[in-house]
Amino acid sequence: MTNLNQLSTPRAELPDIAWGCGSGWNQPAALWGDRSWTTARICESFLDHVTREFGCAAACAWSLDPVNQVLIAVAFKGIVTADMKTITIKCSDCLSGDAVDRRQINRFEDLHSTRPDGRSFKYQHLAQLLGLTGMLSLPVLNNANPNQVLLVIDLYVADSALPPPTADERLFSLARDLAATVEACLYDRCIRYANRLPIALAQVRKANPDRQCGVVARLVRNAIGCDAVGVYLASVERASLDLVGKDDPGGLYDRMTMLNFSAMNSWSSSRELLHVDLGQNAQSGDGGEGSTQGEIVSSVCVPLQALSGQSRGVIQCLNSSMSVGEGTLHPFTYDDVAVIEAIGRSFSPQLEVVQADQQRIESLNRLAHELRVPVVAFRAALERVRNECATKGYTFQFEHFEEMGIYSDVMNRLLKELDLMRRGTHSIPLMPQQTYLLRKIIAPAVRFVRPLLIKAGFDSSKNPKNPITYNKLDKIPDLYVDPGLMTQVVFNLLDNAIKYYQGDPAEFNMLIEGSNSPEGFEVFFRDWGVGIEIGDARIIFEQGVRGRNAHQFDVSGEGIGLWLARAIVRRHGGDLFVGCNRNPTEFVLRLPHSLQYGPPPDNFMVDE
Amino acid sequence: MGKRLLLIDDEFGANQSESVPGAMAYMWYYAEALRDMTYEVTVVNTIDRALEALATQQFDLILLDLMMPPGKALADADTAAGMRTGVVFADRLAHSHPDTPVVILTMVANPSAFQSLRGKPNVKKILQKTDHPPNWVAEEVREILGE
Repeated sequence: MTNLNQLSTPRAELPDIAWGCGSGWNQPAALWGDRSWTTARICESFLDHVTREFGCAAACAWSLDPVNQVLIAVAFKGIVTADMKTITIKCSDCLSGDAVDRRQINRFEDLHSTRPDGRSFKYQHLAQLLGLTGMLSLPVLNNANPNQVLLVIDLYVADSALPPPTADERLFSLARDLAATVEACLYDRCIRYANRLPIALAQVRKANPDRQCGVVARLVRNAIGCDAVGVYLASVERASLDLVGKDDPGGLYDRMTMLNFSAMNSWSSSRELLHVDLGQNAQSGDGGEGSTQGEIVSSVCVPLQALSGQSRGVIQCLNSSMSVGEGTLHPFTYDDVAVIEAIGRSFSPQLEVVQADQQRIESLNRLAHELRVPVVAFRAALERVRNECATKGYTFQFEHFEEMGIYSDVMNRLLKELDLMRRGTHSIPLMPQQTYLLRKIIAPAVRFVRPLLIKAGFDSSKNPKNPITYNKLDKIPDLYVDPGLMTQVVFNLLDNAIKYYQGDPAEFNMLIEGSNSPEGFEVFFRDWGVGIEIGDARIIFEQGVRGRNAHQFDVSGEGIGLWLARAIVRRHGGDLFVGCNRNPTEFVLRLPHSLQYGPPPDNFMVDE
Repeated sequence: MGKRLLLIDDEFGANQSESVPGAMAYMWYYAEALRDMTYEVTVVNTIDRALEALATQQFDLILLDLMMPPGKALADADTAAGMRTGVVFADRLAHSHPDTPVVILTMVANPSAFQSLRGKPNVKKILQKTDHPPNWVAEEVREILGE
């Protein structure tokens, strides 16, 4: 058993609450809206009052774990945690449990005797240490449901008489006030934090599930004032529970390696689990192998339920205490469970969206990987056939090979787009390398759109001019960019220019021009197509938005090309915008000068 | 005799001897492209077989896939159910064969999956199969071997 001798309960002095019997009690205004008014702190204030009024030597407030029928000590007066040695006791074998069973005040004049039903006072060392002789147990009942015991208050006397039966009425009156205060504070915390969650989530709605679960973790930690919170979500694919978000400023999750077991137990049993002493309690089966010597970790796990009632994850809260120094053991109670449940319920609708998102990403991951295999195999086989034909001197229509090669490039490009779609634009990973834009990016992109040019009749014997021309691109030096992604950007711009051209195919012309301006290196993409309507220049870069001309001219598309293109450019620290709406329509790709010296920093965030 | 390469990839199929055209094992094309460059290529489809080959032969360069079953050799390692097998094995090779250059040849598209390999002295290149058909890979290998 842990040595708790060094533990104590140094808590800040609380403002004195004017406890009284029923009508005499004023609700302190400071109590509302202050999250530090947990059940434990209210009980401390209560114990302070009743020990003074009834001349008791010491007192203890117990919170009830109704599932395991265990009492958890939450507040003390005249005792410190170290004196208790263990702060949980089973209702069935302790004297205080009698108050839970009978819901009546019980008096025990002799703390040293064992009752016929086997119940006894579990802290004989404490009785000896403080000279305690008798104990009164006061059940605190739910005002709305007198069958439910919220708390048990034990009052201890030392060589003096217990409060007489004539004081029962007053004790019950105080208990009613305590219950009302505890419930009101609890209700206030549940409602306030549950209402706050959607507002907090709204700020990260476009972000990934991890961030949303991180918001939940942060809010729960604020609501119950614990050391760390982790949010686990169930993965349908892998039938596992993954830690998706956490708020853990003290690094508890890094130190403790077995925490997921208690979360798994809660998830699989679909019910809350309280562990007062996760790190040391061998009976819990949770080990706590990662805790540092003398560290005691209390935990509570509450299932996250979907609207259908299914257990979809777990919120886990942790409190850490050291057995040395001024640490205090902070167990969790069912009040904490209620607050966590309230926040969890508020998260349920969003959880559905998050999980649907997760499933979509997992499905896309699998699909993308499955698609890559045949594309790579096709390209490899095509290359082999071309090599063998060439070495064996076959006279063959090599243009066919070229066409197959181009189409395999298109497949590859579509796969890259799929990758970006599934990952989301907020986390575009870059593989930057020193790149000459014309040779490594613009020329390959032009090659990719060639089938589109041919199909539209822009590139044929009827059009002797080169439909796409370059100018002054030598003004741009080698830059550190991701060539694959940048090629995607250029391809999307060219693809748009081709799709939105409605004039004579023989007249199609596109000019790609480079420039070195004070704002950065710029590439202008100019075409003489239908143009962009006034007012559309900004919104066409938003996801799923298509310009009015797209509908007017029946141009196909999903409204993601420009959105992706701008996200990629911004990930490089640059920007993509419309320079001119019409005649010519001009898109400007601007990249920072710093890219000629090194890759973009990792912290460029894409504003969605 | 050309330089000796070890190509480790589970795409060679369950039975390595069937790694020929028609066996639906596209990595054969990569092995052939390297052989065309006169390299002597040994192909293995598991980490365990790779270790056997490394125990009995000297190699000038190792081409390594990322996502593979960990096998017995890496059963206790954190390979994330095989997703990071190549990362873990490259790390082991850095200690056991520090002078043998390693080229990662992977289907994985997300660079964060192999972020930890960047900067490792034995890992010379990370090539994505989607962007590097066999001839390109052969050229990269030739460049690394300084030929």
